[in-house]
Amino acid sequence: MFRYVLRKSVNIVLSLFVLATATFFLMKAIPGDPFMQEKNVPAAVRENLIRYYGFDKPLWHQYLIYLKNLLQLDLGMSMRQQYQSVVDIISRSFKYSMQLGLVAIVVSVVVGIAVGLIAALYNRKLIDRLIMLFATIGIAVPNFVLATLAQYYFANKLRWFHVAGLHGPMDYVLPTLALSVLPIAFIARLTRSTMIEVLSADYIRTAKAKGLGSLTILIRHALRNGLLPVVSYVGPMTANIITGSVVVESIFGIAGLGKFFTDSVSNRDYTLIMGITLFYAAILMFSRFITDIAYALIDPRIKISKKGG
Amino acid sequence: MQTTNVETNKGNIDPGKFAKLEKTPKDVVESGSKSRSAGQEILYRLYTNSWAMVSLGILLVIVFFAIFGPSMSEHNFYSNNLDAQNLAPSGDYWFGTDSLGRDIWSRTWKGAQISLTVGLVAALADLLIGVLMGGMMGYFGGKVDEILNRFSEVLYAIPYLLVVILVSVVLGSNMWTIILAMTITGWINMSWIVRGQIMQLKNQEYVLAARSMGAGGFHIVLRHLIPNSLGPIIVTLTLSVPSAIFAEAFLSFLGLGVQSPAASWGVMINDAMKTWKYFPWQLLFPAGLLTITMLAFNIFGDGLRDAFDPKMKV
Repeated sequence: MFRYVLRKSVNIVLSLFVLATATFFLMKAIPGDPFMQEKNVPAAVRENLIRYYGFDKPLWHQYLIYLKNLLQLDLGMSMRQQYQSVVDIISRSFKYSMQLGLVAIVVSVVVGIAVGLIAALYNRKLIDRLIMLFATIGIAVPNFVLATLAQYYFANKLRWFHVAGLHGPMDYVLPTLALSVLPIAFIARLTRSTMIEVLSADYIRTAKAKGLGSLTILIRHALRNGLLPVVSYVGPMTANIITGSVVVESIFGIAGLGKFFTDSVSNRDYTLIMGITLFYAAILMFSRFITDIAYALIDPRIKISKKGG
Repeated sequence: MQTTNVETNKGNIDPGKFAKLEKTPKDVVESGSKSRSAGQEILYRLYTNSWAMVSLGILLVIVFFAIFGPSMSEHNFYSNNLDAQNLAPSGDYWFGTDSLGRDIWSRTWKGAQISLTVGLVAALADLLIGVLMGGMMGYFGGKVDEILNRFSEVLYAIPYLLVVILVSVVLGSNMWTIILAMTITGWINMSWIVRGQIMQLKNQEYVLAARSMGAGGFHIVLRHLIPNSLGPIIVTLTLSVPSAIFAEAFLSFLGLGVQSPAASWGVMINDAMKTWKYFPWQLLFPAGLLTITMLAFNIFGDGLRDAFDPKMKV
């Protein structure tokens, strides 16, 4: 177990280092400097800006400064949002994204498992086919299309919700819907297929033969094994919800990290792009790390001391 | 019947019953059901899966229009026409026009060309690199596997869409940089599938038999290992097409897609976003086709998986 955790931790640090290095050199590979587009900037101001950001030093020196700052969790200043550091922007905006993301994760897991379970219990009946149809569609509909349609229909037309903003609990409904449909569809399919397999296993028949009630069998015996694959999906789900929030937040005008990310991409605010990318990657890697360990702890069949495939 | 016959004729057997009959090929064929090879069996299962066949049909129709659609309309996809802004679909402009008066029919099918090309080329690039790397990991094992696997794990931890966004911010956005950006981490999934297959296959007896008959490593990989892991490879390939198409649309939605006047579905959706409440058809056609295409690829991929491995049926 210790070796496994160690190996995964080393991997995370390596990945972050690779990503940090790659982002640094990618940003440096862009022709010109970030102040080129700025019009009417006097030469002296430009000089000062360049000196301030350290762009006059040789590349290796800039890289070392960058790494040193990174270790101190200093991601530099935003180049477009004046007087704001990247860390400030992230810490201020991330709380909205996190609230929304957590709600979306909880909704996805609960609804996904429930729907998948219903489908498995009514295997090959009409309700199962309907659920699977919706699940297939849910995987294919792009989240930004879904978000726009939901916004138009429920907020603009029916006026059930606010069009934009995140001020009350009702404002969570549409963004959560847009974020959760894909994970719900995925979890439902996953739950259904494993539950169908588990429900036909010998030990379930044994439990039935002992005279246990069907609810007890379902909860105590079947769900335990049937939910294992769902645990392994938590990592990818976090990735989906994070990347989804990038567009969903800008569509619903939520001042979360995703919106700043889209803005930074369209403004070419390089330090902000770099900072948010690293931050996203760190969250994702951490959630994958937790998932891997949780999975190994839950399922004793996985030999964690050996290299996993 | 027979037993009573034998009993009544006890001690009095007709030697004629033991005459040798000629065996005709006709008898053999009619004696049982037709035998099918593994490949035919797979095609048969796919063929009888009506959802998969409908999806395949839809995809073929979309490909047909992607190729011939733009030339069907008398309007091209790039000319602005300020006298024909935001027109609803009509006999002249079949899908209407956009805010610059460009013909949406031509743009939609031109966009289909780009979206499909991105999806297919990115999937093929993933296939090529993934099979190569996965094959090396699985076949050589040991140190090679250790190093390559570590490398891919480190790379895989970096979120796919973030890499794509970063690279397109830097390299600028055209179709080829988008494909390149997708391939940087896109091949990893394929390589793991191939690695798993090959590790499982290479210890089987028939590979040992081939080896003991003097087959070289290259021959074994090409003739035995890859053909036998073809099923999961094809399924992964089919399912990676829609995710590439989605990634392209996502990028275009962020304003990082192909540049105007070129059209892709993502670019058209992004253009239509601001005004589609008044001109819904501008969003409807590209968004609808994007969804239908991804849906069809997903259903067809599921069908393929069921056909290759009926036990896996989901």
